[in-house]
Amino acid sequence: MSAILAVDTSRFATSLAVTRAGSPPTVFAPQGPRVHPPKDEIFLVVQALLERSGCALADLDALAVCVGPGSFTGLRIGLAMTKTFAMVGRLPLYALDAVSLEARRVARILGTDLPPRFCVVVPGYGSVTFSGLFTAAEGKLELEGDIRWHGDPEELAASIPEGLTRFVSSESPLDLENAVPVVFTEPSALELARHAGERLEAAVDVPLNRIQPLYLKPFGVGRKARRPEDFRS
Amino acid sequence: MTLGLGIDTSFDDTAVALVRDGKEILANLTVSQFAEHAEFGGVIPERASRLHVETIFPLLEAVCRDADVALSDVDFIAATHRPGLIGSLLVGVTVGKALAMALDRPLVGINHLEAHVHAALMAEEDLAYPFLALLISGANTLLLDCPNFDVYLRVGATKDDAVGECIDKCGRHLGLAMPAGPALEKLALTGNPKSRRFPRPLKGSPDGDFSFSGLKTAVLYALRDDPDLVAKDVAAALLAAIADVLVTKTLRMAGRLGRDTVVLCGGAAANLQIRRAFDEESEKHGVRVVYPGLALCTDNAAMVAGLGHEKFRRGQLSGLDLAVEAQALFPPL
Repeated sequence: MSAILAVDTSRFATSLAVTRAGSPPTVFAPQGPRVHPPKDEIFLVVQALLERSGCALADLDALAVCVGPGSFTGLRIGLAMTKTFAMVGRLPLYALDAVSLEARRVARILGTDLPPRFCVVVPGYGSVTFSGLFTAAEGKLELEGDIRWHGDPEELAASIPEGLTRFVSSESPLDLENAVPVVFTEPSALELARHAGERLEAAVDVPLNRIQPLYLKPFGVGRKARRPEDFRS
Repeated sequence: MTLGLGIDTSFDDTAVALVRDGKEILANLTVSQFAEHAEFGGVIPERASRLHVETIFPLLEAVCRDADVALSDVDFIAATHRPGLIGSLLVGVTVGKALAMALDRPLVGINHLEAHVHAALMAEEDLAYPFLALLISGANTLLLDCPNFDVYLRVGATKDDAVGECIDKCGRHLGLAMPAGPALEKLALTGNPKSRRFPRPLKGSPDGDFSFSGLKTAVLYALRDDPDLVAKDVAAALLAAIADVLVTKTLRMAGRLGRDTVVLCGGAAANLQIRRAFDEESEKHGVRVVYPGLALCTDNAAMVAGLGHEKFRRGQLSGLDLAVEAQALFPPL
């Protein structure tokens, strides 16, 4: 496997991984809900991780980042860090959304037991969830349509076709009806690194300016932000 | 020769600059988000953070292109880490940290307000400590005594609205498009400043504090109660009231502290009427008033790189765990 630094700051627990050919991967993946290194210290964690893997930034072949949806601040930190590293080192940066990343993890755990069509649910902040419908054929996953944002579990339930298996991480704090919990045995950043490795091997070229955070939630929905006419009324 | 890269994303402007030896500005680019927030009548923090992420990378490339240098030529990275909107500050500081780590260069954390004061030292070769600094902008009205480098003692501050906020909101009452500051200044040029006497809040108080919310209300009530008021006259009278308070209190405090130099800095220091008032009165008091050029008055990253150079030279470096802070409090005099 190529030398890749993968960064997933989109979820409750920050996940980082460094992979190198001929060496076991080095990961930072604290256990438990909502475990982040403090936002000010993530660079120290990355630095320590690289040191532990015996790898310098200059030795990397590529970078990988999860673009969300997820924690807004987390996404910005992950994106700003990896894009800067990519810009300075002229390295390819491969991005993957959080729902497709989760689908890849589900597929890896289930192997041949994976249904041909399924739904993946990723918990967001509070009662918010994100979901995506996937089809699996010949070892490939295809996202049907767009990733969707749901304000509450009822909205989520209503959006998923009847009878479709819905997978959710066993670490999800949400109690989702009819969802199949999946126990992931490795951190998300490792799957992210695999995705980047595949893209690198296929010599996929993605311009840096096309990699942006995926916020999904329309700006201002359900928030305090109001226009002047709201005050007047 | 030392080349510094400055980054400022403290509020709603994304700014990146390259400065040689702390003085020579090779490139200084700022992208304003104002139009993106205009429909809300103010800056929306989440939107500001999102726009910083979109803008900062093309801006980094643009300053390198303008200055004809590579990022690898940079000797240090200076990034504003306080005060400001936390989400916005995080973008600039994260990029600064990533550059420092990837380029193996030192990082210097900068206080945005101190950088505004330092801008005057960049602009005026012969300016030296000690001096009194009046920092006026949309978010701040701050009087600081600066006896030495890196020593900022709070002499006074606004108790409510900042000068720029007062001007912007009065401009809105007059029907001017936001940001109203430059438009109101232009309008006031042809108006009669003596057409109406607006209050001079706290002008007579012995301390260095200011207050502008009452003045803003006075303008609102005047426009409500007198439909015959002429906008240009209101604008001129408003700026006359603001300038009178600022000049009187600043020069009085300079005399009390024995300072013969006043630095006028911050975005609102670009206002022509305020500058003129300082010029006219300072001569009578034997005080020299120094303004950074217009480009260094408003939010910019050249001042960040400039102050960063001084700190870099003195070994005042930051670690990769540099924290962002919404506030920057100065100790009282």
